Amino acid sequence: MTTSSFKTGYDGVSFLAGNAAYDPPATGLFAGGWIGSALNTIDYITISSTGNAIDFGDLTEAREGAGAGASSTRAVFGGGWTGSSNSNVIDYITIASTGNATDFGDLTLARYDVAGCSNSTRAIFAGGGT
Amino acid sequence: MAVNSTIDYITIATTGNATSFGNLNNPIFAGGACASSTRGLFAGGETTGGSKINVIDYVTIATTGNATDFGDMTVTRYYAGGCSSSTRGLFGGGNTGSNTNVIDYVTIATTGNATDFGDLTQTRNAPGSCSGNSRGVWGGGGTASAVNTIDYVTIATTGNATDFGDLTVARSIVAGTSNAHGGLAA
Repeated sequence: MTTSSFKTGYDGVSFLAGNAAYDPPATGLFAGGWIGSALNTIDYITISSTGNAIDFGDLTEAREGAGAGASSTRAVFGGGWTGSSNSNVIDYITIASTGNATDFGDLTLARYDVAGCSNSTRAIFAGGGT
Repeated sequence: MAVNSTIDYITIATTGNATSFGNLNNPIFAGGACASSTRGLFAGGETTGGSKINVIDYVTIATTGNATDFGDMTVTRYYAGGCSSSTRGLFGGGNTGSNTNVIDYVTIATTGNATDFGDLTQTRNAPGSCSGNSRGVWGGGGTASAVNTIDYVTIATTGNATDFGDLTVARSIVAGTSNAHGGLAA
């Protein structure tokens, strides 16, 4: 798919009585998965709304069980099972633009069903089967 | 099959191969994870010999080293989906031997056992999960077959999940994240 910008400003701003609570623009991403074979599909949603997910693009490799993390601008997906082998692939996407993922590098160990999380600077990938 | 306790990390703003961080307290696969800006939590999973666990581990993200015991989930399971605000971590769904809809929460800055939060709209394992600072979301997962269900909760409260919408494709064992999860909050 071609790359295009889908986010041009803030959304999800809410104000509570007596307390101006700010909910930052939040894009949720769902990547890969399994339906009898591995998928490369990446979907996105706007978390502050409701509604169906929209196609974002594709992972570089179809797989289930990747771990994921993100900064405010970039999401990363590491490891998984391709249906025939464990993966050490780490992909990344730029969250503000739809499009396909780009290769980031490799995990220290190819593995599936990895637990992933992050803060703004580091993503961590833990456990997994080999 | 072998199960690993390996923890890797990368610096998100760069590219390159991952570096060893340390080890979990147990070798697992299919754990759930969430984070604050300082702590990463890893919950449940299936360990060596096929036993499911309820253990929650944590690491301090800015350092390296082995994980420390945080407490236990209310149910023993693998394939829970984890998400968080800056203060609360939630773990929803998974499989205890059968699929579950249980959502647990913990206060990330402390340690201790999880507390029941409510239920997903559907019992299922291996949903993808993500969050804004106020909402936790679970998408997809497996029942008798893969589902496209997306649910959400308001993280600061407790209660059952509400239908959000559908994924473009029904699927299980999905990776989820967002640009506004609890690890990004100041």
